[in-house]
Amino acid sequence: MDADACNDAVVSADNLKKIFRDFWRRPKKLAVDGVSFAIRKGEVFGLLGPNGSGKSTTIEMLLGLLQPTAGAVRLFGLDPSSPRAKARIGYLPELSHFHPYLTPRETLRYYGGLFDMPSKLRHERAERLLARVGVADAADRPVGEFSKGMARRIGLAQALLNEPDLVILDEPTSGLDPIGRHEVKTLIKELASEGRTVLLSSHLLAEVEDVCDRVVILGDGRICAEGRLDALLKAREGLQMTIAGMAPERAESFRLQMESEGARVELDRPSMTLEAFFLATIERNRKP
Amino acid sequence: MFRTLKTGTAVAVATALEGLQQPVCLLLAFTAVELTILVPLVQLFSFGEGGRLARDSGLAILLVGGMLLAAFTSGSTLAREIASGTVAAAVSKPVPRWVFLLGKFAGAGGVVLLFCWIETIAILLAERCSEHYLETETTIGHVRDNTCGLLAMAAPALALAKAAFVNWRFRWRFGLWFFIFLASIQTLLIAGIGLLGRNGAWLGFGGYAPSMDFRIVSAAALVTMLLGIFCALATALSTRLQTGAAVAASFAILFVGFLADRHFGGGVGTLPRLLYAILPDVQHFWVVDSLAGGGTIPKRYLLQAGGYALSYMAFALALGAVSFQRRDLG
Repeated sequence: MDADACNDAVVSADNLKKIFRDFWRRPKKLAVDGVSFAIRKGEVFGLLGPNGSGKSTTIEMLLGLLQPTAGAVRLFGLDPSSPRAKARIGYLPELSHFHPYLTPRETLRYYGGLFDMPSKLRHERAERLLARVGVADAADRPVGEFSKGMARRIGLAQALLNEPDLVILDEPTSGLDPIGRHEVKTLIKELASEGRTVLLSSHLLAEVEDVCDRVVILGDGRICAEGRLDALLKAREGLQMTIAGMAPERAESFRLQMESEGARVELDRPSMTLEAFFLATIERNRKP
Repeated sequence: MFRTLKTGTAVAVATALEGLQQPVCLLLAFTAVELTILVPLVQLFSFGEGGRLARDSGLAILLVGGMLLAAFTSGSTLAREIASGTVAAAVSKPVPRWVFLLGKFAGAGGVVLLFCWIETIAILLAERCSEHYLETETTIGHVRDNTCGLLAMAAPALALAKAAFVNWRFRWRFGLWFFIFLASIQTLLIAGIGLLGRNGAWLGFGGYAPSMDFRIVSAAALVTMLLGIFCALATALSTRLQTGAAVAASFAILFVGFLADRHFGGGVGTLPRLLYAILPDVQHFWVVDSLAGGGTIPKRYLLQAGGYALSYMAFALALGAVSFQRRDLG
């Protein structure tokens, strides 16, 4: 981590290490080992890795929910347990468990109360966010009756309640249907366009690829790769061309000509992703 | 400071609302009140001790019911929320952990306090409707106040019916409104029952006579203080232990606390003295024997017991706050 990166960093993690211990304080699992990175203002930063790679543990140390065994964390240049830092953060945990007997409206007002928001503002933001995440129609039903996806949407709403400068989303699309996933991606892009910093943890690569500027890939608690997404994904060799409106015979002769010049050419028909196809199908069949 | 108070209040209100919605709390309150009133009504032989039986069994129901309620609200809620991650979402907000813990305690304590209010009224009514010797112009002999008994038995049923109606008609929450209706009906009943004589005769405002053993209020206040200690212990222990273990440990501490005065009081040696200092002296809060002997509870005693209970709660919660501060909440 260079000095300049640290200076304007919204989040800086320096050599973080977490060892979980058993009842007798013996080391049980090394979950995170020497992880360092910095996230700058306005970035959409991806924390990637397979299950058990230490993504959630890293996030929980960033938030002060877990005590690092070694290393240091600063949020907005402050200690993560500082109320001033926490007031600028929105956090969506990996599991959305809320008070089952409270309604979404009460849940949001409760979290608004923790931010010491005035009652009127709390009410306004709760109503706006309930509509934004698509649970306004179910705002008076107990959260315990909700599906996992619906609970996830309330989780998103509570994470945005304080209009945070830093939004930390731990597996935000877990339990959501493709429409919900698409909405979350749109939401992340909107947050980025508003100048907010987003830390996104996921093992679903497609969604990260669509929204993230920079990523860290964790494996067994260590950083395996780090950098700007476009730089990491750029193939060292080869060029890709997309040509529309060319007859198949002409394309074949084009391929032969290129190969005669020593290039390796693959011809294929472009296909849309299943997600794009699904969303288009749902949109076509939506009742007017 | 004011901000801290407000965030703590937000936690307390959510905890209390959540607690009052739990079906187990409703069942406990309903069963406790009905059982308390039923005891004097089904007695066949009371040997002139009907009032005492109603009072003692009512206070025992208050203690056991209150401990079960406190176990469900204080003990299980926090441990369960830590395990499920609900707490993580809350403490990632700008609320200090100790404030969150105190809010949890206050919310659970509020539910227990409401239960104590309802159950204390039930004990007063049960004692009134139990068999008493009566000598009036129309009645001489042992009389059971069946009118009071029936009204007191009907109160929880009426509260259930009203809560069901507002839930069906206005979608108001059943559990919460059951408690609100029950507390309101009980309060009206205790205030209005003095308009009737023990034999059911109408006395009117001129002859208003509560005819109750108000020493029960002091005894119930002492049990409420004990339940406050139990809540504080359960809350503190659930910061580190799983639900079952936290509740079991709280019960164990109170049980040993019942024996503390006898076994460790005035003991010699470091360990007995240490145990006597650490364990809550539960005997201070259980005064049924004193009431049975015709004694009253002086205000000074109540104040001293209240001071002791508050100190013990502060001690338990301080330990809980220290423990919670360094607790991993992943």
